[in-house]
Amino acid sequence: MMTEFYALPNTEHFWHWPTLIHFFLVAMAGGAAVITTIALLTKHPKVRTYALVTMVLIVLDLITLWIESPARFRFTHVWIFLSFAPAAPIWLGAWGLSVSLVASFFVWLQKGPRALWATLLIIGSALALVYPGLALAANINRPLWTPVVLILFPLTGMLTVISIAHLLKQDWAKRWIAPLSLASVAMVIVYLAGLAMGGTEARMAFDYLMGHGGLLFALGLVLMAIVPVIRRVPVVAALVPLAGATIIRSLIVEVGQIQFFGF
Amino acid sequence: MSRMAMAIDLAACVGCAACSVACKHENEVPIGVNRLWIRNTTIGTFPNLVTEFRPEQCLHCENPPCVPVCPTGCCFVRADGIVDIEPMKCIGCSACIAACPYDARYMHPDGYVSKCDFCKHRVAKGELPACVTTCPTLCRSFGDLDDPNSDVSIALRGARRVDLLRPGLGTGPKLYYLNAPAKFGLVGEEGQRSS
Amino acid sequence: MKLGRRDFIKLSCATVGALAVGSTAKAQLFPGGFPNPFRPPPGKWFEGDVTTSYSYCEMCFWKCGMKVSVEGGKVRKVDGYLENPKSRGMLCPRGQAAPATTYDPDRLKKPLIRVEGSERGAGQYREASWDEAFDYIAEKMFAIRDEHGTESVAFMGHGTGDEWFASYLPGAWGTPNAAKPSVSLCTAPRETASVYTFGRGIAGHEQIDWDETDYIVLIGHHIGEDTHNTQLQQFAQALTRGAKLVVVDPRFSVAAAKAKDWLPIKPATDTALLLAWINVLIEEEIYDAEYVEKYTLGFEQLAEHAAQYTPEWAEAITEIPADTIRRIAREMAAHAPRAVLPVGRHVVWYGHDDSHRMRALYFVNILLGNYGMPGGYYLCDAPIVDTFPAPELPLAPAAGGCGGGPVEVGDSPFRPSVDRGKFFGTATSVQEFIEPMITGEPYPVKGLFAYGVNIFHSIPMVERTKEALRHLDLYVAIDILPMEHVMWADVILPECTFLERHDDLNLVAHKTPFIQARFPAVEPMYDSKPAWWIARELGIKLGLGEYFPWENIEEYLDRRLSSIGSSLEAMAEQGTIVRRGRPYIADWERLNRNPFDTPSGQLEFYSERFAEAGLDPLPVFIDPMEGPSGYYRLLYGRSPVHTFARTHNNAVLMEMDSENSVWLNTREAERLGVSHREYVYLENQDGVVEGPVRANVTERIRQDCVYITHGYGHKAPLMKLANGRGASDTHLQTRYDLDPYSGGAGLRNNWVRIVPGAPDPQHKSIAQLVRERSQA
Ligand code: SF4
Ligand code: SF4
Ligand code: SF4
Ligand code: SF4
Repeated sequence: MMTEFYALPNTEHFWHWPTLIHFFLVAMAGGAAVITTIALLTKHPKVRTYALVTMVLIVLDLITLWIESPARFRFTHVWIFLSFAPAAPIWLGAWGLSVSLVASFFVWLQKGPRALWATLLIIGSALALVYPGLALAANINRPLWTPVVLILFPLTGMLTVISIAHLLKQDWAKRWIAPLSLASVAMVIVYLAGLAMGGTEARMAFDYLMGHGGLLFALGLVLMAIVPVIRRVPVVAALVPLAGATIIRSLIVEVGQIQFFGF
Repeated sequence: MSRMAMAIDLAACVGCAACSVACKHENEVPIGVNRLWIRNTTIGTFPNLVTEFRPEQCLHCENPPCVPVCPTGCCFVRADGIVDIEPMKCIGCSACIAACPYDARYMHPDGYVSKCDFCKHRVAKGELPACVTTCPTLCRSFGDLDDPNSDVSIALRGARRVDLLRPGLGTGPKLYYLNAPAKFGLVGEEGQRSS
Repeated sequence: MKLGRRDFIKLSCATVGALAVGSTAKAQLFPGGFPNPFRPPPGKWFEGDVTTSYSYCEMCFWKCGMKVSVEGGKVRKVDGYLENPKSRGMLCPRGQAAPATTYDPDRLKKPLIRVEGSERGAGQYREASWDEAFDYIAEKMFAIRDEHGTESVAFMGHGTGDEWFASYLPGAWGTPNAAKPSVSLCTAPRETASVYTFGRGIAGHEQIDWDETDYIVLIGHHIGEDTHNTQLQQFAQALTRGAKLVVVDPRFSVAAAKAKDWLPIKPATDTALLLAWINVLIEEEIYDAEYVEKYTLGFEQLAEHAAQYTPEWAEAITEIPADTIRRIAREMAAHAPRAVLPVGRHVVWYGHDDSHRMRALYFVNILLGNYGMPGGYYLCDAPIVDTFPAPELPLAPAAGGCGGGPVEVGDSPFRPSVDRGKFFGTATSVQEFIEPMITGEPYPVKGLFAYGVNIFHSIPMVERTKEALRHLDLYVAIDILPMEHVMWADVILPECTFLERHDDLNLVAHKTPFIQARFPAVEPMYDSKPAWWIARELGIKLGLGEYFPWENIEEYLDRRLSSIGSSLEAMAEQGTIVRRGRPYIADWERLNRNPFDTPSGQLEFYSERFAEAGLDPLPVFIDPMEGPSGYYRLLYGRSPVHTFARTHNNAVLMEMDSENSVWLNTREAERLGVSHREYVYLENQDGVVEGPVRANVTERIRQDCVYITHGYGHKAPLMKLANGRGASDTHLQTRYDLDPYSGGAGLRNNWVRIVPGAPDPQHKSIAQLVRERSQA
């Protein structure tokens, strides 16, 4: 089979490096919101700190999004909040982050009804954590973004934020690293197996992923898998899974922009 | 209500790209992105060959995956079935680009998503889209599917066979390929049909 | 080699990645200009105040009637219009891209004079006024005239304005050395053969009655890759209507992809196939006996002559099975007279053989009884419009036209053209001007005008042409772009594009003959001028003012139009005036007229005139030239989105097809270890190398030839989009074979070998180049 084009289809990547940063930051922001929620519910003494961190991360993430947007100097972003698009993962994410931001702000102020902030945080943080995976999996035309990423992304998102918490010497974080890492590894294996044993298109996608960063992907997997072995060295135990999760997430976002149309 | 649609007779199309060039000027499509392109594919071995010339563009799906993922409602389906974009509502998130299974959407350098809009400004004046008007092989027909006397309805009725792109995805394209030259239909779509 | 899916994706990603406009826009701080949060996207042109005017397209020679839309002082869109028999409301890709040529920032902007003492080709120029440029030219022309005579200035022209530069001005100045490459490098054999067979030329636009035909046999005729608008429309409509198509071509062309039978003939053997068809039609007595009896001369000689050309004989030569040859002949006969073998346009293939091939082709048509019959060849003449009253030119224009057939020069006080006597036809052969410039034989040619002709991308033996240019006293180029050869000229005159100018009326021989006019849609950009103005001003400087007695083109056109009861004003409202034609023999017989202007008044199989001249009176097959082993015959053709070497700096067309590639059969590629899309060099039999050019490893071509599209491989740094992309077939044509009948130069007698391992030239994307150009 031989194909030639006159003019080319629009197959270039639509998400670029700022989007990768966004996917990293949103994992942290969503994860931080989850931690703040838990802290709030468990009346953890550091809940104000976590709320502040959550706010900072959300703002940072929003700034990244704004920089990434080619429409950054048009005030069109407001339309997200003027429309009702619950089927759009980005709409859900935007509301999730905004609600988390507002709730965190009041938690930090320690003003207002705690029950309301807790409720809002539960919903908002859940949305913020889940939406990146949803934004990918919604595209049934992109074979690397399988339904498995719906679980893989929240998991690795939590792993990201907990690793950083561990790095920042939050005692409770340590015990979560290994389980989250191993759960992520398991999901990555499920993800790969799903591709390798799927239909023609899934297998093409598997080959494609292996051909475009397969080694890096394997490295990410290994980094997460060795966590139980190295967990005694605090800094390393935090950085290794953090790197692993980030590599895997970034590759899935970056390489996954392929679709096999017309081949 | 109407359902605007297009049909391209692949038995006549020679892949000359007049449609693509016309679109470029009519819609001021920037160099580097395209609303319409031609995919020429050859299968077989010498001397038993089939070459298919296939223009591709937005298919104005009846069940368009690009629309629900848009967070601002800037991607929408008009009452006449044209899948359209309101550029002033677009935040450039590219979710719709990701969702389109046909590579039809691009980011305009001015910061909004764009694609074929069936030349809605011409349709409003009762004219045919620019690509349809100029096609030297007259292989394109356009019109309302709900009107049995429209060009497109007539073309569909007269076709030896009708094929859709990636039918397995359930997008319900309203761009129909007529009389594909290969026995099995559109080249590169064999897998789509069996799966 | 089958291209794996993964390779393909990688490949397209590589191409597309380089094209991404969005990603680069992202790198800018303020994409789309200074930030204004409330600024809506810029309005579309069609929402503004749009005016339209009539023109006819000049993106190729086909000249389709065109309507030009202007908004905000800029041409925004061009379209065909229904009333015009050529466009019929449609335009081809090149026509559609016309605005991108007008707004090409690389255009020539001011008259330029080569810096005194600099080498030709070194590209050192100073800007000059038009007046200074004309003075410079006139002074040199007078010097040439005084030393060598007026005949020592030669003219070459192509495009609508060539009437001024290849016909009128040379006639007024007094030189028979005026020529159009569109004759001897394109249509000459078909014209000579047609005049000597039918007593009529082939009209500029091949007069095939597509609307009525049921069976079409194309021989090396690339409809679909040649996007000659009307022809493509009618061809496609015929197929849609159910006409059957047979394509004879060494390559699975676009047309072949539409055919019921593809006959992959061995290159250079087409005449053998045609002679075999003549043989079958006659031997099996399935030709149209009544037609032959009534309208032809010399059938007995033909029958006797053709007896030797059996299908078995042809099979051995053409590699097409004898059974297939017989079957197709019978099918043709079954559909006759609505079966046709259309004549192609570019027919200078193998030189010695070309006129034989064209005559054999015509003979098959005559045997099918289709010439002047519905579904075959229709008859047509150009409409008549009086010329502007002016003194008779000292010398009748000698260039001939690609549609008009050879021009008889007659008695004149001037020396005959330098190519006189080299061949039988009388139209001047452009390539035959080159040697006299170098050798001075039969007399020196010292001055040359090139109007719209790309002499390095049309005339074979480019190095020889360069050598000839070095011998000149004066070389003037009139063009719109800084093509390589233009940058060799002593004086460069910038013409405006056709959207910015009036031109002479276009009188079209067609089934319904018609007259169309061109009006400027916008003012000329920069200091560019229209051809008519340049010719007239220069004429006045040369003391030939009496031959240009009009003040301006409006007066000229209005006067001409008044002779048919119209006016310039009426034409501005109308664009086209359509006449009734006499397409079939019956239409002529009704008027008691004979359409065949041969000495016998019949269609001539046997040519007494050729016999008298010592040439073959009947077509014969001559063994083709053979190439060295390990080399492939170099075939060439067109990209549907390009014209000659003329549109390769048009941003929109270059985005469609930005680079040519060399088609190489899969098995040959395997043998040579060449992979698809890899860059290679092409080296011809004389050691000339072109490239790097991509290999297109394909099943669509025979193993004994390779193919590239014409017009790429520009070596013109000032043409930012065209420069250095792909390979030039012309540069690889270091040999040609002269057709002794027509003076055509057979260009397909060159061979190349594939040299793998060329470096990737890392071309920037067209989008990238366009951006750089707009920032500069
Ligand atoms: S203009 Fe018509 S024939 Fe040419 S590529 Fe487009 S659809 Fe096909
Ligand atoms: S082709 Fe793509 S852009 Fe067009 S309607 Fe379908 S999904 Fe949307
Ligand atoms: S309908 Fe209009 S916008 Fe769509 S491809 Fe054709 S010319 Fe372009
Ligand atoms: S065939 Fe195309 S380029 Fe040639 S005159 Fe017609 S529209 Fe113009």
